[in-house]
Amino acid sequence: MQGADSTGSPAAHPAGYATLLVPVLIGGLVAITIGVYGNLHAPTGIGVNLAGFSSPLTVKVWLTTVAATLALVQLCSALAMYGRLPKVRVPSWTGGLHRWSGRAAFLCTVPVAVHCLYALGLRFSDPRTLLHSLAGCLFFGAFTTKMLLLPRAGLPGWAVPIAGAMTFTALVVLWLSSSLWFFTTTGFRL
Amino acid sequence: MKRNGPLLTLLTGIVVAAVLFLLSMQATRSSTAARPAPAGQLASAAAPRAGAGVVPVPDGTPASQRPPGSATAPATVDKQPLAQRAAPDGTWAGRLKPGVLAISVKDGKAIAYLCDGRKTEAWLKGPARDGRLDLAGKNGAALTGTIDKERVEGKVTIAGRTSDVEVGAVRKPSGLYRAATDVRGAKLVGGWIVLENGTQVGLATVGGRLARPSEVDVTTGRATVDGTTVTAAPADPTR
Repeated sequence: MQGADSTGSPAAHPAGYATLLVPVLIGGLVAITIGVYGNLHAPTGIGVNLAGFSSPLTVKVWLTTVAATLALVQLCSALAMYGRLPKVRVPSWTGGLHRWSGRAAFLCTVPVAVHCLYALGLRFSDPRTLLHSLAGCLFFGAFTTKMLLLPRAGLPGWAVPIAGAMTFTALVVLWLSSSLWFFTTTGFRL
Repeated sequence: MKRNGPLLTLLTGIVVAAVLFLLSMQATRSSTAARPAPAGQLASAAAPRAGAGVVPVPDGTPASQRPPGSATAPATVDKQPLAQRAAPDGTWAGRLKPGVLAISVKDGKAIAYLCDGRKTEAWLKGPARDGRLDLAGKNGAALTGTIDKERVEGKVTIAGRTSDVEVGAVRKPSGLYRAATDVRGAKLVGGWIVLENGTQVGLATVGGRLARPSEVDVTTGRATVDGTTVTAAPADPTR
């Protein structure tokens, strides 16, 4: 079994690539499945209203904003854990913060995605919805891959950070293509 | 780090998603089944279930609207067995010079709405058969043209002016929404056209006077006109 040196070069640790395969494939499968479902399923337009918000749309917009904010926490804590924040003393609970903020962000996105897929489906009618649809598939695929990579040993050192970066980027794109669009067209409100 | 943490996170997400999907499907099923009549309204039981439609959340307004039909069914699905006579069910919408036009066809009948969002609007109704539309409205408004499952082409006359029409088929939740109710004795009729890029154009008349409504929420049908909340539904030409 190849050594536990996770920062070794690929040439010296071919097993590193092999362990990537299954998580990446499963993540890809998740992304494609979401896309296919969104495309085939006839959108129903049904929404669930949450008290205090003006419509199901604003519930989603704010949930996405919460998730995106937590994603920033994710980014900072990840940078801290990998020692990329010079001069910052990294507290021991950073790992816990990263995990729990990540879980919270993910769980915030699930109801939004369910509603988007069920009520609206995959849409290509304009650049914004196309981007949002694709980013949504990518986000859940990348997140799945990251979750499946984490418990594995012998990974190349860049694997988890790249999976995390893709998840982060996808979520930012999701926020830009929905919440920001909503705030700038309809208004900044609940 | 516990080995199971990530997997548990994923599984929790999947479980939450599954629960929400089930709730959504239940909500869809119960909304399109025979609805209990709100005060004073006779809802048609077992509304023809030709694909789930946008279902407005029933609120207390004494609305004179019925559960939506398949007015905004995807235009590519032809539900008419006598396809050679009635035009295909569906919705077509697009921008024209005088305003935005949307046409909804069901069972060989059509309802159309032309609206510029400011001061011009017209509702038109008429038959949609043999590939032709022949609709008319108040004050000499008229829409004639050819219709197939992809587009409508022809001419529309409004306020004395005639313009060309060329609009394409649109899919839910884009389409034509209509609300008709009474507000303190005045008749309120509102129309909203939702285009595929997410933009909306709409106007309402309250007791004959033009009013600018809020945008309609396509997932609940709710909109506000002059401070009154109304519920719009996909316009039903057979009503």
